[in-house]
Amino acid sequence: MVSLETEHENDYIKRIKEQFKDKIIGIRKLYDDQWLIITEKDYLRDVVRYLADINSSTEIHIATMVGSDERPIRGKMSVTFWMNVIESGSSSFVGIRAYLDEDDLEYESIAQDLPGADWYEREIHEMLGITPRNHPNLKRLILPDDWPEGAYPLRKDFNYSESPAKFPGYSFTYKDSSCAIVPLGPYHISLDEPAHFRLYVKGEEIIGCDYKGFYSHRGIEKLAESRLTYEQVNFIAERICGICGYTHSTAYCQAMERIAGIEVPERAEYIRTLLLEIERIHSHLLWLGIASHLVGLESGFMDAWRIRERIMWLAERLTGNRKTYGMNLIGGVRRDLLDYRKDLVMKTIEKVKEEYTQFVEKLKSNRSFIRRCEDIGVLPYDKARAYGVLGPTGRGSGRKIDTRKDHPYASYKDVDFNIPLYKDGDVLSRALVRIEEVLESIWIIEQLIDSMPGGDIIAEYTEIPQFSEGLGYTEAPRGENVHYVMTGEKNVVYRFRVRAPTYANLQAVPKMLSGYTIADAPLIIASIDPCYSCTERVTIIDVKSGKRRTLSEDEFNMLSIKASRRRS
Amino acid sequence: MITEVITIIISILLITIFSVILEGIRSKVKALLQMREGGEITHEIYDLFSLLSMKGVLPTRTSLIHVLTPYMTFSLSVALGLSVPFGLMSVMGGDILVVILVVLAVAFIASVPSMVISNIYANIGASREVILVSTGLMPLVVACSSFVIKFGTLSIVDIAKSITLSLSDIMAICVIGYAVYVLSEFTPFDISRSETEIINGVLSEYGGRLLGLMEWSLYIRRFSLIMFFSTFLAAPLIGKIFGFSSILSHFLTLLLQIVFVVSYYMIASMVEERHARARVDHVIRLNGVFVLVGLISVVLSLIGM
Amino acid sequence: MVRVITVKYPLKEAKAPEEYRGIPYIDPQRCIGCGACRNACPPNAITREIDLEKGIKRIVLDVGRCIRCGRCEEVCPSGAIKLTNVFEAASRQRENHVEIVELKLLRCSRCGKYTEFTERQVMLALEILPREVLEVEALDKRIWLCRDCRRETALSDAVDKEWKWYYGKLVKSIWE
Repeated sequence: MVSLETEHENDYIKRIKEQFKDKIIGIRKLYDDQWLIITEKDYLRDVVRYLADINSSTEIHIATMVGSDERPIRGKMSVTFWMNVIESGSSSFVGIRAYLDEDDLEYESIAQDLPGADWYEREIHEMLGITPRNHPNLKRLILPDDWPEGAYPLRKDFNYSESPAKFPGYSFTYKDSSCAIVPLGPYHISLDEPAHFRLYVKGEEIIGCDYKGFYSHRGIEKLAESRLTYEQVNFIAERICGICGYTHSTAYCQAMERIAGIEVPERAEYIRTLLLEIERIHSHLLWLGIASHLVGLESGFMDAWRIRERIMWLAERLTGNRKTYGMNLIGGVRRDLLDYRKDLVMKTIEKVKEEYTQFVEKLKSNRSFIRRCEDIGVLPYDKARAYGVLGPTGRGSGRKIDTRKDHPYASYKDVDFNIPLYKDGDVLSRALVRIEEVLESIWIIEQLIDSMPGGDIIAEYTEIPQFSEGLGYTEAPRGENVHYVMTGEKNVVYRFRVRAPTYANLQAVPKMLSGYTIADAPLIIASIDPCYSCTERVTIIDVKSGKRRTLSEDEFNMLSIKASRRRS
Repeated sequence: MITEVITIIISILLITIFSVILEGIRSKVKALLQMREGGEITHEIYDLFSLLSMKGVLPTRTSLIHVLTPYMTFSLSVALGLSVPFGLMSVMGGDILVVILVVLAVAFIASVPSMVISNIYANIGASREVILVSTGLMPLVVACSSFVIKFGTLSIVDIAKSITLSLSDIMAICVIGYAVYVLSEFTPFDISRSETEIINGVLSEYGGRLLGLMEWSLYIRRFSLIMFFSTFLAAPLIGKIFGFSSILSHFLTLLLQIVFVVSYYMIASMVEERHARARVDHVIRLNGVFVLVGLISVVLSLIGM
Repeated sequence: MVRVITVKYPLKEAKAPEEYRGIPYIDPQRCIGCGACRNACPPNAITREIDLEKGIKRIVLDVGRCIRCGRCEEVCPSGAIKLTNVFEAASRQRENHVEIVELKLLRCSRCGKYTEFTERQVMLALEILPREVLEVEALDKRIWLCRDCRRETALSDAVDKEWKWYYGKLVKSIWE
C-alpha cells in the first residue's frame, strides 16, 4: 500500500515514516485529529516505543488499546495502540495497528518498555487469545477465576449469553513470607465497590501490594456488539458508571457523530457541556466527602454531600433524574433547556459557590485532615508519565494534560478556564486539584448560561457508513475517557471499546502504596478516585477464589449457614 | 447507712444505663451539628438490647478464653465504674492506683485474646489498643503523681477535697482531662476500632451477645473515666460553698458530677466532629507532649507552687 | 432551633418534582398495539405476545427491567405510554411490576383468520391518512383484509377493473 500524503501531515508521523520507511504498510488520516499507521506485527513494539519516547517534553501516553476480531471482515485480528500526542493547538490521536493471522496470534509485548501497557495486553490475551511475548506479568485480569482456558469472550464466534463450565484457580504473584497479609477487599468498608488489594505488611508499614479486580465485569462491550442498536448503546454507555455516566454517553455519541459526519447543532453542544460540568462538580464533591470520611472527619463528609445535594436536585429538575440524565442521542440532545430553567441553574450555582467556598476554607484550615493527607501516596512525575496516569491524579503529579484543552470537544473551545497543576504528587495535591476544578466548573457554567445560543437541539441523519471506525473522547472527572467504535452492519456496532481513566490510574496504585502505613492505604486508594465500574464495565459473576487465608471453603459455608439460621 | 445504699443503687444505674444514654446524646449532638436529624437519644439502648438478645457468634478457631473475654471485660469495667467516686464516696475504695490498674487491665483483657485470633484486622486493632492505652495512661499517671506528691494521699475524694487554684493543680487537671479524652477513644483517638481502615479492629471477630457485652464495657469504661475526671471539678466547687461533711454536699456533688459528665460528652462530640482520625505515630507523639506537661506540673508541685 | 435538612422518610412523605422520570404507564384507551415502544426500548422491558388463535395481542411492560429512559414515550404515535412521577416501585410480589395491555386483533372479513395487526392500528391509520388523496371506497374494501387476502384480491380486482374499462370504451365507441 502507498502511504497517503497530505499537506497537514503530522510532524511526528513524518518522523515515524522516515525512521521506519518500508516497515510501515500504510498511513491513513481518519479525521482531522485521528491518524492510523499500519505496520507489520513484528515492528509494532518498535514503532510504539519510538513514538512514546519521541520527545520527552511532550505529554504522550497510551489513550487506549483495541484488540478486535476482524475475521468476518478481512480474515485477521487487529491490535491497535492509540497514542494521545498532546501539543498545544495540534494534539492528535495516532493509532498504530498490526493485523495478525488466525494461526499466528503473537507479538512482542510493549509492557516491557511502557508500564502503562500492562493491563491492556493482559486483557487482550484473555479476551481474544492474542499473546504478547515476554510480558512481565501475564496473569488473568478481567475474567473470573473459574473461567476455562480457551474460551475467548470477545471473539465473534462466542455468543454473548454463553456461560462456560467452572474451573478454579488464581495465584497472587507477589509473595513475601516474612510479611503479614492484610486483604483489603473484595468487601471492605473503605471501598465503594469490590476490589482486592492484597497488602503485605510488616507491623503497620506496607511493603508490597498485589491487585486483583474486575469483580463487577458486566460484559457491556459484548452486549453492545450483539443485541443493541446504535441509539440503544447510548443508554447502556450511560450506565457504565454511576458517577460519570454522562461522559461515557457523550464520548460514544461523539465517536458515532465523527464516523457518520454529523454536525451537532451549537445549542446541543452547549447543553452537553453544561451537563458535563454539572457532573464534574457532583463527582468532585462526592470525592471530597469520601476522602474526609476515610480519615474519620465525618463533618467533612456531611458538609460536602449536603452541598452536593443541590447539584443533584438541579440535575433532577433539568433532566428528569439525579444521575442517569438520558439526554444524549446521536446527533444532539433530547430535551431543551427552557428559559425558566436557566434562572434555576444560575440561582443554584450561586448558592453552591457560596456554600462551597465556606466549606473549602473550613477543610483547608483543619490541621488534622491536612496532616493525614500531606506527603502520603507520592507518585513522582516520571512514574506518572510512564504509567500514563490521567486526570487529577496526573495533574497532581505535574502532568499538564486535560482533554478539554488538548482535544477540544463540545463547546469547550468557546469558554475560558484554567487547569490547576501541582507538582508534589501526594494526596493533598490531588485534593487541591479537585477543589480548584470545582471552582473552574462553576465559572464555565456561568459563561455557558450567559451565552447559550438558540437553534435546533438535534441534527437529523440518514445513514451511518458500515465498518468505519473512530474515537470519541471526553474529560471525565477522573481523567481522559476514550471510546473506540467500529460500526457494523444492520444498525449494530461491530466493536465497542471503552477505556475509562481509572483503568490507567489503577495500574499505578501498588507503586503508590509501598512505604506507607495501613492507616493510609484506604486514603491512597481513594485518592485516584477509583471508579471500578467504569474500569470494568462488567457483569456480576459470583467469584469464589478458592482457599482463603483464614477460612477454608467448608468453614466459610458452615458459618454462613449458621448465620442464616440465627437470623431466622 | 441509707446514704450508702442509695448511692450504690444510683451508681449502678448510672454505670449501666446512663452511660448508654450518654452515647445517644453524643451522637445526637454530632448529628445536629451536621445539620441532620440523626437517631433518637435512646437508640443506643435499643441497639444494645437487640445485640444482647442475639446469640453470640464465636470467632473462628477459638478457645474458651475468647468466649470468656467479653464477660471478663464487662465485669472489669463495672468494677472500674464502682471504684470511681460517686458524690463524696465510692463503693470500692476510690483509689487512684486502682483506677489506673483497672483501666490497664480492661485494655489488656479486651485486646490480648484478639492478638491470637487469625484475623489480621483484629490483630492490628488489638496492637493499636494496647499502644493507645499504654501511652495514654502515661500522662494520667504523671499528673496524678503530682497530686499524690502534694497531698500525700491516694484517695481520689481526699485529693479532690484539697485541690487549690495553684498552677500545678490546674496543669494537672488539664492533663487528666486530656488523658481521659484519649483513653475514652473519642475521635482523633478512635484508632483501635477505625471502621474505614480495619473494619471493627479489636472487636471484628465478635458478634451477637458477645459484641454487645464488649461494646457495653467500652461505654462503661468511658463513662467511669469521665466521672473520675469530673470528681476533680465538682468536689472542690461544692466543698467551697457547702463544706464536706453533710449529706447534702454529698448528693449535690453527685448532681454536679453528672452535670459535668453530660457537658464533657457534649463538648467531646463537638471536638470530635472537627477532627480527623490520627495515625498511631501522631498519637504517640501527642501523648508524649502531655507527659512533658505533666512532668512540669510535678516539678511545680515539688517546689510548692 | 438548629437547621436540619434531612427528612424522616418514609415516615414522612416525599414527592419527586414534576420533571422526574418515573415508572411508565400505558393508557389502555389510547394504546393501539403498534409495538414502536418495543423496538425502541433499550433493555427490552416492553415485549409483545401475539395469540393468533384467540385474536389477542398483548403489550407487556415489565417495570423491573425498565430504565426510565423515556424512549417509549418519544416514539409512541398515539401518546399512550407516558412516564409518571412515581418512583416507589418496590413490591413484595414480582407480578406487581408487570403491566399488560390486551388488544383485539383484526379479523379478516374475507377468510376469517386473525391478522397480526390490531383493530385500533387500522382505525388510527384511517384517521391520519388525508381523505382527499385517496379513494375511500377502494381503501375501505382493502383495509379490513389480512395480508394473504389482500394479495389475492388485488389481482382479481385489477382484472375486474381492466375488464370494466374495456367495456366502458366499447359502449362509448358504439354510442358514437
